[in-house]
Amino acid sequence: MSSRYGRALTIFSPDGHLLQVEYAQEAVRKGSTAVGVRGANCVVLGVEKSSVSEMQEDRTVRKISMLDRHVALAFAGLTADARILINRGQVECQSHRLNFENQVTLEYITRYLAQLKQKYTQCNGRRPFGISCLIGGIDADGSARLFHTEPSGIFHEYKATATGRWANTVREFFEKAYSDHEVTTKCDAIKLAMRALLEVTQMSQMRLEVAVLENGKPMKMLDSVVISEIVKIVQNEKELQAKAHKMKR
Amino acid sequence: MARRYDSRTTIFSPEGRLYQVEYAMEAISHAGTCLGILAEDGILLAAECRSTNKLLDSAIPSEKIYRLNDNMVCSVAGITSDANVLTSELRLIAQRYQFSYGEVIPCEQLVSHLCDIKQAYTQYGGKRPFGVSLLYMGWDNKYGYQLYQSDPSGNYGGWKATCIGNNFGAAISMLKQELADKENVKLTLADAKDLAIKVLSMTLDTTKLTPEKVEMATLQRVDNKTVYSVLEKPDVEKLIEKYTKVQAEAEAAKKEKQAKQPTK
Repeated sequence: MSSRYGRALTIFSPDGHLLQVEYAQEAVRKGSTAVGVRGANCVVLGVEKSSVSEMQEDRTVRKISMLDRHVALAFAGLTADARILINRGQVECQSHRLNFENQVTLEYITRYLAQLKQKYTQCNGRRPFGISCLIGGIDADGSARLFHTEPSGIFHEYKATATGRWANTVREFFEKAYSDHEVTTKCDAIKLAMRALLEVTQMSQMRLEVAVLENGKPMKMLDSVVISEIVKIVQNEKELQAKAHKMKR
Repeated sequence: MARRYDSRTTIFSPEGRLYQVEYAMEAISHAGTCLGILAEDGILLAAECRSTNKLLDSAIPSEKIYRLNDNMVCSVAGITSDANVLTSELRLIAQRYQFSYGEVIPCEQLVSHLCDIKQAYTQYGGKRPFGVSLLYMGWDNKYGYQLYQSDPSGNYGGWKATCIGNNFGAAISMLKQELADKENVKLTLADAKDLAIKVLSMTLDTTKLTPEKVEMATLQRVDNKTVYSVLEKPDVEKLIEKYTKVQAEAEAAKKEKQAKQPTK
């Protein structure tokens, strides 16, 4: 029964659902986890790269990309779809610079991408984008912003959020762990993002990608040596905490 | 259940999958095998030829390996007619870039441009996706020799060695094993050729490899120029002979060992 309404995108099912959009969200839920943390003066995006073969060139597997000097995007879902969306975003950023002699605001570019996604849920003969994006960056006034878009075209601003396979677990973690004084420095924000990723990924086969954006600086991808060092620190802290917990008991 | 969601490309199944794309990939996993290996001093592609009719005109030197521009070559697995569309598109992209910017297109850019087109067919237009996976080998001045693989979904990746088509899983794990064994040794193009023959003969369904069934092409830089060459049949034959010899020796050594053991 439901299949009759699942085919054409622009059609509501009798109970008021847009099934294709919901199925697209399902594709996102299958994707690898991506997290974003907004610090006092920086934004950190992190993803787990689950499916990288040993023989694959690391350089060609990118889950975080730069839209503009001050905007980064991490995604969960269908990689090929993401590439298209990223391309459109990059072009829009440049076209905005050309037209207004100004960089885009984070809200503007998020709204643009969300609108594009919405179009694909309503126009005829196309399926929605099977991706959810975390868009982070620094506005011209120096404030850090973090947005989350969904296949439906909805977007929200967050202090810290996650998407992909373990999104709910990570979000629960953020609800507990995030507070403004936890993320005053860049270092703390990075650590919080890594802690969140480590909640849901196996330590043994870990491949993380972490990007940091700061005011006035271009996006910086942390290299693997730094990442593994931070992982060690986080693990140590975790153990200490566990010990302290036991002592209390 | 699955059948209900697979009739049109552009549709997600309730689990969030795109069946048409998955079926296209399934089709490719029955097509003729192609493999690519990145070596220190060059790069090679090898492909299995299935149509080995004696009456076939051999004037066309290769049927599955195509030259794209000065620096790039690709091989295809899947529906050949779809592949023809894609290769001509690739050539066009490469030439358009060269015309606009006056220099050769960077390898990854060519691959990703084609993948954008492949992706479009999975999202709108009411058409089916292309039933083709490609392996690309190329050289550019930023990253040197490069090997890429792209599939019907519009995904692509760079590899050190990979395989598409029939039995690709077995071939990839074999390549992985072989390369892991030689981790500290630099792989030369000559080694890569031997390795390609070895992997092909182990993974093809035929009992014995013949030169007619294998197509091999290499790409190297000589005096700041990219040199692309398709191996002649006698050369392939030599490689196969070498392999069978090595194999026979290994077999003999094994038997000898086994024969010795009971006496101990």
